[in-house]
Amino acid sequence: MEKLLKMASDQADQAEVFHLRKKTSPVNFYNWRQADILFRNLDEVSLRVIKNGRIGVVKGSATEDREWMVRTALMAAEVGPQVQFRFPSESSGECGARICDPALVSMDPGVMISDGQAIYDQVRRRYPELPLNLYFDNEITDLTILNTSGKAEAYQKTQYTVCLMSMYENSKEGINKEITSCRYFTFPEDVIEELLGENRLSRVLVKVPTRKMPVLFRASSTWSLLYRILEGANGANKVRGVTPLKEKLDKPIFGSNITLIDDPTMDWAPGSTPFDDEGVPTRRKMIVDRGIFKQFIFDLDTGSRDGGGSTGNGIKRSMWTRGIEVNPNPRFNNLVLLSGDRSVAEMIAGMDEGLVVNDVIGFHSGNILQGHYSMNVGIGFYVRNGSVQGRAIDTMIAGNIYEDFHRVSGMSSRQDYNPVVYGPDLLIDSVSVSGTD
Amino acid sequence: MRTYLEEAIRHSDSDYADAMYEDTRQMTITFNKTDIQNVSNTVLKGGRVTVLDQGGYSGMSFTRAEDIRNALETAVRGARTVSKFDCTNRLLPAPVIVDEVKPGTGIDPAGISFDEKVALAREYIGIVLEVPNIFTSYGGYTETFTRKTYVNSEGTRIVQDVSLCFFSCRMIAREGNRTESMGVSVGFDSDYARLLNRHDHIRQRAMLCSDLLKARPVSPGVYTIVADQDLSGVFIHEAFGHLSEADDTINNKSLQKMLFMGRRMGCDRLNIVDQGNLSGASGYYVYDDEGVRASRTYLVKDGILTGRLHSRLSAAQLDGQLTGNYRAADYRFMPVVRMSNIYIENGGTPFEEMVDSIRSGLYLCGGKGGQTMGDLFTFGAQYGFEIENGKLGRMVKDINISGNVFDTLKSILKVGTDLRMNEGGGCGKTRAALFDMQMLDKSGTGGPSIQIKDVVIGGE
Repeated sequence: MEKLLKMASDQADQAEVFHLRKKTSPVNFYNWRQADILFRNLDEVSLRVIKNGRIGVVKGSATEDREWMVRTALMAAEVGPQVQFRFPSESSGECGARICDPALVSMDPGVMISDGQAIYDQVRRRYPELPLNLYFDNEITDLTILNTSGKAEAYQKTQYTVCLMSMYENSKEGINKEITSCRYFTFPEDVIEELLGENRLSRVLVKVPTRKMPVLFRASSTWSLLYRILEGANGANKVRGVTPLKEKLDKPIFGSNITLIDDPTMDWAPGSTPFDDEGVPTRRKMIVDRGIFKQFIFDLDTGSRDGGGSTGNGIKRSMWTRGIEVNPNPRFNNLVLLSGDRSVAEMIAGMDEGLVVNDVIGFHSGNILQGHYSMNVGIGFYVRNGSVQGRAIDTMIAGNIYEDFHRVSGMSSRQDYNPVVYGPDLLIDSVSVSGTD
Repeated sequence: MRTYLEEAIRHSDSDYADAMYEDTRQMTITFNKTDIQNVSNTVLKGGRVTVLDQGGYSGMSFTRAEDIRNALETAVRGARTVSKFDCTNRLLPAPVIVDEVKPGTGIDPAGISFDEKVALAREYIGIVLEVPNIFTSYGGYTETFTRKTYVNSEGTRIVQDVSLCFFSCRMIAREGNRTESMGVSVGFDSDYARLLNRHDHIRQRAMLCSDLLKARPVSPGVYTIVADQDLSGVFIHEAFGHLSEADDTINNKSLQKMLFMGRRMGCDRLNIVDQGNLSGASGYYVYDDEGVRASRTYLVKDGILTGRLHSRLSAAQLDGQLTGNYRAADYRFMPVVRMSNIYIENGGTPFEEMVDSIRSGLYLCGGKGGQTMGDLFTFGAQYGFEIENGKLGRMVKDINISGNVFDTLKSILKVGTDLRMNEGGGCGKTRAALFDMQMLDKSGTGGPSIQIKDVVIGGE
């Protein structure tokens, strides 16, 4: 990688090499009987060069011909966009968070097979007929960044994921529970019990009336709402002038009980890192402080266009590709929604009438930038007089987070990960629900 | 490469092994308005082996070609580890194939200069930006060239050259504080000619996006609708197609019971086909990722459920046929069973007649995302028009459609005569968990206009 940087720096004004190595071993169990493993050993690199104020990029498998990479990046820079930033030189110092578990680095895949077997054994005692898939993955990432400003840093990170997916009768879907951490864990028995309990409650199907009612978004579903703030606070959307938050800095956008922090210093959090994918040191920062919008997130390019520089949120990876994305995008490192002091049981018991939403379908519907949502309730429960009546069918919920998050009346003390946020279950007082009863 | 893979496979100590190696070059030119924002070049080289041993199934993806021996050994160990839990895997026999596949006829994008591609994209973006209220756009031109080499221990040896080029952009219209966005894409084929002379189509999309600012939100309710070709394609892909993918059906007895062959799904006029070898469609391919030839599979024939999509593994388990649908996004993923080009065949009712027969309803156009949960589906329509007394009326927006696939298929009253495949693709599917989602560009959908009664429309 040093050779690649040297070759590029001989011909360009600035250069950056980003090297990602990933070893994963996902184990899939299909419904008690079937299983498979796909090992991955991936090695990818991207090169960015800046010449005469213009940037060019190329990425590829790490085995690719260095000369070709440099030549292609320089060609891209000839017609590439003008940029005003320098690659960072600031040292990231010690990573504030523990993100690598040696037990995972040396783990044999047989452990996942026997852990999977153990989960099946626990479920079998209670529900031998329950269709249930399991997914385990042990991912070890080695990431290195080198640039011509003198940055040469690396980190190793582990990420362990276990997911249980039950399926309803006549369906491919059902209650899911998933946990991910940088540290090895055995799947907690109480979460398995919760899955079995919710599965039992789902056997009764109930129709839901159309009116406004309290909705308890379980931690597994809040990401569909918070995805809107991810777009709203994205500095690229500010630079483009399309986010409604551009006028809202230091103004209230949510109720005063909502605090969102981007915290890359949290121990064992999958989003914790010492520096982002452009080498900018990450830091803990307030996004929404007791309802007040505090800051946008930027990568080097959007930060320089906006004037304030990068916030350490330039991410070059996407969940879907497993490798390197060509261009960085402002993304949260580890978004945390601060928890409350209630329990799920207590919040359900306090509802005269309401809905519990575990999972939604169609999170991308509605005008996302404006905060609208209109989603089908995938897995949800209808509550009357403080008790769950059964699984809510044919139910839709709609609203706008910039209005609804002023009416959050309860949050659980427990936090969980979902694809966007580490946060609690969230009770919103009055949400438009449309059903068929 | 082929000989190298064959040599490695020959040494594999397993009941069955296959190996593939992929060399992909992709270039994307993205624009912010008409300025070049980025030219990104990607080279992805890597391979994957899969192994069956003692009934256990495993695989390994790797980047360095010299790692193939190690990958095979690791996969064999993996298969034996898994076989302690599951030793039931076997493959349905498949013909041994030796073949080389080149892209179809037409203009090879590799022969077009960079400047010409930039000029064309700029021209199209210029058209978009000229339309009143269109405030910005981003998107551009993408081309991909892939050489896939595949061998297996049964003697199959295939080299496939696949290329793809397309122009796509997302535009944003703004008036005051309100914004609307819409996408347009053309091409999705190996033939560059498909990108040329598309000015009118692109202008029309931009005008629709601008018109959306003035459209009113649809009133939620239950309607008789006419879905245009794009929407009927999205519907059949999302709501029905995913249920036809047999890998999810294995071991799920209730799903097998629900989707029994011979079940009536809709009216006699309803025929649903998945066809990988549909030339010119965006999901076209010749061989899938286990060397099985792509085919034409009737999923529903004359309203009756008649088929499923299979891998060799799922076909062996479920007593099915080879359909050639085992596909991976790239070498970094294990293949899954997935649709190629799914569409509804033409029926017999012209579009005008469908609209004419509706006293009060909606004409809905374009799919906007979509998701299914078993037999439930939801997705948006990009825009629509009210139908009053058989005439198209005011434009509506913010349209969300949801329902149960079986009820909705049975509610299809009329099937049109104007079948068209979409230009574009993109489908996400997970093996078992969201974490393992793989996005696939090459996935086609289509259909004629269809009339459906009792459709639940939610507003936003």
